[in-house]
Amino acid sequence: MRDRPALVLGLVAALVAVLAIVAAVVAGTREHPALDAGTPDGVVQLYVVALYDGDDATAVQYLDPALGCTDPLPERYLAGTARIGVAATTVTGDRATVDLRIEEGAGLDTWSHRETFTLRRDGETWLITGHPWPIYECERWVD
Amino acid sequence: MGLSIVFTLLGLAVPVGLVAVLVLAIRRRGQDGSPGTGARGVRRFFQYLLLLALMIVAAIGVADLLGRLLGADAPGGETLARTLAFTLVGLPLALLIAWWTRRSMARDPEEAHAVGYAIHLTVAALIALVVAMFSLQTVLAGLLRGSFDGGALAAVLVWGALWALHWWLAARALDHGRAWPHLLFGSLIGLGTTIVALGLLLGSSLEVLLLDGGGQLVVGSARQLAGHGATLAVGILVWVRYWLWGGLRLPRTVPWLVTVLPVGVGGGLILAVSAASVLLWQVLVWVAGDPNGTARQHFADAPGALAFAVAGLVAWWYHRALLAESHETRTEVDRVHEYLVAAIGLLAAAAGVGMVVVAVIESFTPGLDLGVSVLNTLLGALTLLLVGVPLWWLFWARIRRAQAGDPEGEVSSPTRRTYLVLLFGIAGVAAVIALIVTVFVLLQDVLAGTASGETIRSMRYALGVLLATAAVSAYHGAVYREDRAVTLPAAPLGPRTVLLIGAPAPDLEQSIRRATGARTELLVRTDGTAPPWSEEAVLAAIATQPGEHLVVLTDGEGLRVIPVHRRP
Repeated sequence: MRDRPALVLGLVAALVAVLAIVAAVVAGTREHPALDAGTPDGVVQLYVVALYDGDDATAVQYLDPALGCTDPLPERYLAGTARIGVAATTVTGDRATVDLRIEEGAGLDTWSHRETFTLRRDGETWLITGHPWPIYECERWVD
Repeated sequence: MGLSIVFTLLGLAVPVGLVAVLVLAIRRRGQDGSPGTGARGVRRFFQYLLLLALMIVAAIGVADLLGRLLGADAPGGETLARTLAFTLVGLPLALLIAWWTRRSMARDPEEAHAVGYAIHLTVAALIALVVAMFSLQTVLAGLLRGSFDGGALAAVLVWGALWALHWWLAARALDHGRAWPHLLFGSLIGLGTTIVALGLLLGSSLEVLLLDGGGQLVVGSARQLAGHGATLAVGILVWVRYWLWGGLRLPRTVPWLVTVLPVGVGGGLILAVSAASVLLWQVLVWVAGDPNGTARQHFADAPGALAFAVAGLVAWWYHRALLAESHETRTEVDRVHEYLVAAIGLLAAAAGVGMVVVAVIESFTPGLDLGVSVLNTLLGALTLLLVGVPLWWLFWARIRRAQAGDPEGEVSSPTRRTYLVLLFGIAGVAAVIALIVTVFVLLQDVLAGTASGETIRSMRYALGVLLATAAVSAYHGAVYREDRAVTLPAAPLGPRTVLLIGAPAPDLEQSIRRATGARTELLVRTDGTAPPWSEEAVLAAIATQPGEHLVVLTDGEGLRVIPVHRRP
């Protein structure tokens, strides 16, 4: 058992190499999932993507007109980069709630939070209503 | 600015210092039993605290008044009233207490050797140093920009004079054994300022030269360069005074080695490794990953990273060179250096392993990446591995070679044992925290009925830490088992305690401790009949005695060793 440490080291190195290669292959072939505006979680994700793209006109399309939001949307703070994932979707009749996990920032400077979006059915699609993150209110910004 | 920090620290120091003085006083009283020792300690504590506070108050007042004379634009009213009050009350009282302290020292020479006085000199000199540094930086930066700040110049003169006075007092009153906190803390302040300023200045210069182009007018960069240049000048001045002309000449005791090894070598290397990793990652992302924006935006932090890598390498190289003077035999200091560097490399490599796990989980679980990509995470992992693994391997291979040459010496070295135990300890704590986080996230989603791929994604950092610590522990567990297989020579049997009774001998106790590992105590005979100790004779006499507890006595008839029981 003289070379036991070398054996363990070799195993660790091999495992790391395999993991890295697998991650590289999968990451290289990974596509942005196609988001469906006909589902509540699709609408919420399209809305957040539009916000991160700075495309307020598109973001407003996913909001319930009753909220009174117009392009440009009120000032809000968003980190430069984010990862978002749907934690849960519940549909009850014409209402739906979507729990979104949002991880803002990059590297060590990352913070994550969960936001709940309420939606109502509008024909073939869904509209975000209630107090959606990160706008919450539009009316008080309107003079 | 600096002053508010000083006052906050002082406010914190009062209760802590008072408790420390009381504890010391009670302990000392338990030892020598003379009444009044404790009370003297408490009196000194308040005396020096009051002196320090009054000196600061007076210096603030005088500096402000002098600043007005030098043309500083200072408001009247409340500010002027405060300045006058500080000067008129603070200055005479400070002088009075200083005069009283001086007189009590002339009467009782023991006053000058009190711990309280040494602490006072150290703290006063360092506070004056820091305030003078801030002010000097302001003056120099102003001069480089073509402006003049009378208030800052006045602060330099007043606080500089206060610093010079305390430097002079400390040089007279503090011997090597008590001067090191002043010199070493001052050196660290100078070193830290120099390295940070060097990084900032070099970074700003490279940014102007490489990113902005010669023809482009960049508002504010000349101002910034002047500020960083002034900070660098101040840092170098302090470092030269405190380290090159002070700390460097101190005996190489434990605090000295701590300053050079973990702080100088370790701190410099960590800075260089972190900065180099940032730089390498940016290059890799630009070449093979998903870069964000134009080259100018992508490489915005690159000049700073390059500059801090250089500054960190300079600090590492310098402190390494200090220790490289004697290199024929492998000393414990060489060992500490090798294990320290290996540990820093290992930390980076382990972080790389953890990041690979994070990248794997990111690539397999659903979720949208906005402005970040899995490929960039993977390149981050690769960067950490590329920086950490060679560094670790270089020094670990050296350690393995030394171990092959002298297995017993290496395995029994306290540095190696501490290294392994520390690694297991840190890995264990990190693993436990990561495990708690993993289980918490899992249960949170399971109980809410929302467990999905997103749950695993939320656990990815904790899982990365778990796997990295498992890898580190597995390898070092194997090393530890291998170490235990090495048969060590039985520890030399010697006494556990040695009580010496005879003439004063400052170095004898240390020699006995080094030779036998025994605890020692020396009682000096007051009847004047003890001849001087002979170190060889004492060591030889102890070696022939099988007893656990020995009393060694010298008198006119020579050396006697008496074995005793500690308890009747």
